[in-house]
Amino acid sequence: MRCNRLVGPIVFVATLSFPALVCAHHSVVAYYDTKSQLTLKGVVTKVEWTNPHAFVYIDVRDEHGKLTNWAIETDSPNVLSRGGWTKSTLKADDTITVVGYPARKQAAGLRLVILELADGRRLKG
Amino acid sequence: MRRLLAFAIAIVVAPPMARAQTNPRDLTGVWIGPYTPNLAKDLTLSFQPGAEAAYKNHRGEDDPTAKCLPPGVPRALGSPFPIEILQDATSMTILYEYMHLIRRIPTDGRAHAADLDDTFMGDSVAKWDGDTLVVDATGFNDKTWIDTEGHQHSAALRVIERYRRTGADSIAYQVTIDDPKTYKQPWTASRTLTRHPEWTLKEYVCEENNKIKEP
Repeated sequence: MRCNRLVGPIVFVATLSFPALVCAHHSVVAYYDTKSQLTLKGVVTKVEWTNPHAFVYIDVRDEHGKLTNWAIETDSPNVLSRGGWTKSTLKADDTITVVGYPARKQAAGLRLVILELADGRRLKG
Repeated sequence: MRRLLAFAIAIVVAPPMARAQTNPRDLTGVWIGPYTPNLAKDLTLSFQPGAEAAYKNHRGEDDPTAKCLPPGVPRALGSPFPIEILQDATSMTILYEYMHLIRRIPTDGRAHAADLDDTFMGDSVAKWDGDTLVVDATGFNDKTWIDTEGHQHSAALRVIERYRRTGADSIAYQVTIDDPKTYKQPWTASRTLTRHPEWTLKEYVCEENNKIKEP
């Protein structure tokens, strides 16, 4: 697993299993490197609860203090809502941890596999 | 008296759906199958010359659904979105949440119209074979893929689907791909559709926020 260096310890990752992604709209492999996984902890700046895929944007600070806004692509809100999400599950300023596949071309893009909320709840992406 | 008591207990203990006999020819309801990105999983397909290279060398970026084009048949049902089936005495309607597509399928045994246009979702007719509804679809264009994995087809595609109600909450679904220009032999895949009476179809507008750009 490839992990970037983050502010604060990320301890839950080792305990997660990685379910198969559900993505009907397009091939995940075409856009994301499914052979590596990245873990990011950051602060939500925006949520796009839209089809064909919902997006969560998070600010992530690296070990040098540089702040980068990452675009986290998830499933359709239709699929997410049947899996326990709602449009208000995530709000701006929430701190979350995400595990996913890094984008092949996009500089700061990730295809979500699993997300952990500050209260410990985990959601598939 | 003892028999009456046993009957009463059975009525109380049996789940509600088991009490009412399911009509095997009733396919109505909201259903979903397992997400099926590779319809030919575990199968060895025999391709016509050139067709195997087109499959093996396909680029995910060329997936028609990435441009929000209709997925076609049977891919519309291989998605992780439910369908709703409506029926009357002479027809079945399938509402697909994915891409908001509709199939109107006469079930009175009529044949396809002559000289069909080539379309994304094709033309479907159906008839009952016992308690199995056999849907025959043709009149497809060649602009869709059979699955996310990139199995392709020509406009000669014919799809035979078999829907058989196997329980209150299950349909045995079987689909045969017959495209002699792409595959040397027809091939068949099966899966189970599960009923979700607690669900309703949701809006799905693919163009709302599609970030995939033209390659």
